[in-house]
Amino acid sequence: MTKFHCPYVDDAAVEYVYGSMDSEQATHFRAHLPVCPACQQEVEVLKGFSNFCRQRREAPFAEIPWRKSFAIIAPPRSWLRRFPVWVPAAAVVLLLVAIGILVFSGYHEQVNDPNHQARIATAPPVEPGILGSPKHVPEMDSPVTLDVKLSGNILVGATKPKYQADAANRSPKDSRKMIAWSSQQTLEALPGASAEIELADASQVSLAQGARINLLAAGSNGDTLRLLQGSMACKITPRSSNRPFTVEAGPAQVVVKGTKFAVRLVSQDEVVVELSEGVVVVGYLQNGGKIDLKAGQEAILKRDLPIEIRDLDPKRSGLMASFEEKSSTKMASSRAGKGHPTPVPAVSQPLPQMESPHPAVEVDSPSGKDKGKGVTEDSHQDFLQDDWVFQMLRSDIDRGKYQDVLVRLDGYLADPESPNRSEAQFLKAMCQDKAGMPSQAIEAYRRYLELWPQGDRADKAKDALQRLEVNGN
Amino acid sequence: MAFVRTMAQTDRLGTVSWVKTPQERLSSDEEQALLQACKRQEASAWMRLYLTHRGSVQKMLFRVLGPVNEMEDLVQAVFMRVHGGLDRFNGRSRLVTWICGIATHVALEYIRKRKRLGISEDHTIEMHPSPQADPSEQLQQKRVMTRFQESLHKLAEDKRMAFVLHDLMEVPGPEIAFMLNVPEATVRTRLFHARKELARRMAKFHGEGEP
Repeated sequence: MTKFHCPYVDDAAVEYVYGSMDSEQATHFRAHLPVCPACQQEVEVLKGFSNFCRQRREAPFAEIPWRKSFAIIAPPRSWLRRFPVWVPAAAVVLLLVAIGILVFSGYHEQVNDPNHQARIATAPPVEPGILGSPKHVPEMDSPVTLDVKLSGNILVGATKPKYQADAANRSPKDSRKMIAWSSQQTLEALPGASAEIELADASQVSLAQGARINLLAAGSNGDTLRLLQGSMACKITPRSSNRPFTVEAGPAQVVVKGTKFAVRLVSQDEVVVELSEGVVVVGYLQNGGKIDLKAGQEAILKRDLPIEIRDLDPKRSGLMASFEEKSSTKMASSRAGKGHPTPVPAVSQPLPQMESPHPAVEVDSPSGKDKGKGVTEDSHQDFLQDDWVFQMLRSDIDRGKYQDVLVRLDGYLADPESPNRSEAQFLKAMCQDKAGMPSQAIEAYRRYLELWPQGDRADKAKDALQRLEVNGN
Repeated sequence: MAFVRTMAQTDRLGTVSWVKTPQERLSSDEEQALLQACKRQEASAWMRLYLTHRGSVQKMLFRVLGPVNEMEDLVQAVFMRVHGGLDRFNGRSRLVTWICGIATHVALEYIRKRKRLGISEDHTIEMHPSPQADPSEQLQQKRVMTRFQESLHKLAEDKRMAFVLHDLMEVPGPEIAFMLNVPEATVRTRLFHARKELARRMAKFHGEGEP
């Protein structure tokens, strides 16, 4: 069929043949037809087709013979069949939703019930005279809160010693949002890591490893922290005199109006304060005597003795410098590289250089930046000597957090340089045993006995293995 | 719903014979009465409903799908849906329109299922040519019909349905719109494109077939 060109709309022929045009349009098209071969051809084809269809319509319908004839009898419908299908389905869904709401609300209330919350631990008991800290802190009549940002690996705990530590209260490694730090909570930098606290006015407090502080006051009259253990460094944004930043430590008190300083609690009777910038007022809590400490000076406060002031010796490694030395620890590269969440606390960036005039204090998250860097010998040794992490893991096991513990132990065991692998292996077996994973527990106990046949836990491992095997697992 | 009995309707020689479906037209009152009786689950009412509309359903399915082996099953599927959904029939259309609307959906599902399974459609027409035609004419008619069926099946399902219902079954446009649950303008558009496409295919066939 030859295709001719026609200025008319190509579809006009269809409308014309099937009577879809109004009379005026049809008149125009009829006048157009004699002069347009394309439309003539189109109309001819369509008319032929239309006739064909009419013949099909009128032709006797070649009905397929029914080889079967079905008679339908509808049995009486049950009462359920009176409803559309979606009604009972919707009823079931609603019932399940209601059950879910009831169950969840009960669980939620249980979780949010303060008496039922995860218990907060006291810090490991510290021998008095070394880095003594009071085990019991006088409770505030009414708790206050201070908005802070936490970074590093900080344990957020309660001041009441009866509560046990809950790993869930540990701040996330990259917590960049403000949280309300309550006077009922202590903040503690975990062993092997320092931690930073940033206040709403950009004042910064750095805690050395193992340092512990709590909040005494916050508000329009100023903010007061108490150093319970260890050492801390502060960079305080200048503030008005009626709203000072105060640190109490042992017998001493440091009132800050905007400066950079460090405080070390040597013992409950001795405190050292180093000032790198600004002016602070230091004194004793009891007798009220206070003096102004100037930049470049350090104050030594010993109970019942006069305050000793001396200049900071630039050659001597001061408190600020010691922060940097001790806190320059990094995560084990193998742990981070294998992608296992590790039981070893992450390590933050080194504390800022407090002696420089206006250092940019870096409170970066350690979560991403420190991966891939090795653990220094110092932090490793610290970890070796401190089995507090394993105590915490056992505590988690007692709470039924098996999967969390197993993940951390797997990461720890995956590192061949991990020091206390025997303890970790035994703990893993015990955790699997309690978690109801008998075959895995048997394998783990056997592994322990294979590697450490004379280990401290060998007898216990043998007993557990025998028990599991006797039970048929 | 249960099937009570089966009957064979082939003649003694086992050949196909012309069987005309009883085209019993019901008045609106009769249709209402039948409808109510069916809702009361009266077996005889259901029997009458089935026998009255079976032919229309089969004709529509045949026009759309061609001679498929599962024709009886498809008709059965239509009436099973009619039985299950009769309570929802609100009388906005005639009963036959509603039933044929169900049949269109059954046909569309069948087409889509065959496409999904990659089964090609059988375009062979069981021709029942008039006894007066000579063999060559009968052959030519068969060729034309086969080509027509092929062209029809090449149409998109929605256009195919609109064309079959309107041009082959003379179902009015508003009723087609109700069956297919689309606006009337959509039905006109689909019809327009279906006619145009089919006409060209048939014209091309005739052009190829000319000696």
